[in-house]
Amino acid sequence: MPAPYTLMWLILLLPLSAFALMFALTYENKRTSAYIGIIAAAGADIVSIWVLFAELAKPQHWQYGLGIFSDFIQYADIHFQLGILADPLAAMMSVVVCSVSFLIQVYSLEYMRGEEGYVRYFGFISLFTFSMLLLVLSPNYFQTYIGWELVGVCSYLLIGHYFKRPSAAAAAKKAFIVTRLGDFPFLVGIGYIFFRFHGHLAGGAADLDFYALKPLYAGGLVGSLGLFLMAMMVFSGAVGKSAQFPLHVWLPDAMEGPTPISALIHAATMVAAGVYLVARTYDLFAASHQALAVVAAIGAVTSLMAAIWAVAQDDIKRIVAYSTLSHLGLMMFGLGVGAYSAAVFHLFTHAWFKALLFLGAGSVIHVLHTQDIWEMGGLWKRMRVTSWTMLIGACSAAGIPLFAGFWSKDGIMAGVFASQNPVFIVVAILISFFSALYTFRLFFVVFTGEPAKRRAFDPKKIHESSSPILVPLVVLAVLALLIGYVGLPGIKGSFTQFVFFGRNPVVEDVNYVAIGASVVAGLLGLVTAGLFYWPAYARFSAADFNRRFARVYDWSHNKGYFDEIYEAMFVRGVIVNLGRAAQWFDSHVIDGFVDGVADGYRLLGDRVRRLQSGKVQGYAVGLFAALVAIAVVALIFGSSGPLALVGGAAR
Amino acid sequence: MIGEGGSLIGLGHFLVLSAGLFSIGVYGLLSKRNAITLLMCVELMFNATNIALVAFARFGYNSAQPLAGQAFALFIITIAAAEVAVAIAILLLIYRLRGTIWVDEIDLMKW
Repeated sequence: MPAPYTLMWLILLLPLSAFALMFALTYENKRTSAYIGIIAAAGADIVSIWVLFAELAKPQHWQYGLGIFSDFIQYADIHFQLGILADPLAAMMSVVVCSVSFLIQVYSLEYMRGEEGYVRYFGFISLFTFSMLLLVLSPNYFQTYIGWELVGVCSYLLIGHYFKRPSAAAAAKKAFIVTRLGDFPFLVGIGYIFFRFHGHLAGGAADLDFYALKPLYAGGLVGSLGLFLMAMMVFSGAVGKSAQFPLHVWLPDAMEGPTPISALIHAATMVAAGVYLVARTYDLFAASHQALAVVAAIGAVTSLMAAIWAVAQDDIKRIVAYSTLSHLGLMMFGLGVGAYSAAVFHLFTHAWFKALLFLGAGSVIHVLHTQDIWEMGGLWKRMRVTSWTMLIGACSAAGIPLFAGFWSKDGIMAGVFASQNPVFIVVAILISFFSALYTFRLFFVVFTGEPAKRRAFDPKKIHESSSPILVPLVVLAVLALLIGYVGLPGIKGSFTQFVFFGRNPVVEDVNYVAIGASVVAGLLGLVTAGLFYWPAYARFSAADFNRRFARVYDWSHNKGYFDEIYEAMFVRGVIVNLGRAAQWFDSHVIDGFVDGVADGYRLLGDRVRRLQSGKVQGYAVGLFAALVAIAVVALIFGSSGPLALVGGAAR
Repeated sequence: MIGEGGSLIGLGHFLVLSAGLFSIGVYGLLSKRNAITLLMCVELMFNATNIALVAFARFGYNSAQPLAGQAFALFIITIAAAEVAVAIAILLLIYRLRGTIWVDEIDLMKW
């Protein structure tokens, strides 16, 4: 095994030991802890990049068990393994995770300064990075699930960073529980896959191994219904983690966490895990056309709805969160219509420009101390670097030609057009339109015009953020500007020829119709946003529009009333009653049993201790009574009677 | 000994004597209140036991160790002496503390 691959365990070990070190030794020392996390992420990043370059030079698949964990569970012929997997997809993703984690931590140095729980924050970021990499580098479902749950826990811990604020605690709980709804079927699905394919794996592969399972899905061991169910169960995990409809409700609330966390976990990495999982197990989905259709439909619905809702939000972070939802839906959409490389490529570019948008929003929030876009405005002249980087991020997210998001999104568009499904095509065009609309609505409202008048806030105090915040922004902006060029369509050696599905990369013809439609829709969205929200060019009043179409606006502003519907249907109806039932069971049955045992013994003790009367002759009476009883028994039964049991009268 | 060779007095007589003595001891132990009397009753029971042990030895039970019965009896006599010494010392102290040696009044060690 060549050099970078043998070192890949470092990618896992560095963040994990950083976490352990911070909590064990340097908890009192803020700066040291932060630098430990940053250095660990940087180290992991260097190894990841090295691996990526090795993969680029010669795409190949390596995997091996991790030392003593390579036989993590070994019983009879059951073999679960923890290991390391390297292939183009994993190498690409681990670079994304390590790099974003590194940039986020640099950014957080300044952003979190003076906040409570500084070291806890950095420690959990390191733990998260480790968990995410465990998931990304996992060679089998077993390890994937471990990483899957670990990132869920880290997400919970970090959303609830300000756990003293009730809304943050509630959001953390919501994220955890809603994701769980998807995780449970995923776990059942893993069990299903295990039992169906156990014993059929080729030569010595550990159970649930991705590569060993590849040829088996379509190999006839499982019927089409079984494959569909299998794929749906795996997909439900992805639906929860990637916040797809109908489990999308947790992601916007997750914005209660610190902004860099939103950038790292809820934009670039963890929520992408669902897309990554589908890409990783794409053979399973490819074996079931119905499953792919469901993936495409769910992705399309999520993407379009989130894009429409984003237009009517007022909270800067929530707008970006809905944008994330929309883009994740678009990736699922792409995977569903078979545009595998394009979807994964979008996952790759999205990580950079979405992290950029979040960090830019964070920079604004850090200076203005508000998240309401209507309390911002006019930042263009006052925060130059933030504005420019945000503009690049917005262009990239909206799919404006030549920016990163454009190249990946248009791959997906080409895939959607290739599916020749008119509904899909219309939806895709609408998504393009709305994503440009909400992105530039955000940009125009926040950065153009004059600062909004706020009580107790002097616009003169607005200044540019300091360098630990700006450096990651600039780095990400450069990436958002340029990274798209690694995936130019139809070019040899581009991204689509690096990460692909099947034996050989498909060289797709450039679909100019698709690109044209998407670009026109995007530019239309941009112009619409300008006409409504750019004060210098505004021709229409958004307020009038919202009043005239109040019903549409309210629906969109209230995110389709999903929270309310779920609240009424599930939370109040099912979950609360379930909770009460569980509480009753606990306090009556469980506690009743425990208390009953204790009470029983106390009662027994109360009775029995009366024997201890203190009267010596009472004891003597008992003694002789017992003696007489034994003598009587011996006389009646002889040596074979009950006394034989106590060893008496053995002869 | 007279009993040997089919004489009138045999093992049974000794055992009846022993049992009678033991029963008197038990009766006294359970019915009397004075601790000294109780000690004396215990002595009776010891001696009843001793008679039985010596009789068994004399009439040839346990032929592998023919003197075991006598040896036990000697041990019991020794230990009984020691026991009485300790018990009387305790009773003296109790009498000083509480002014009585009636066992039904000495019942502090209880639940």
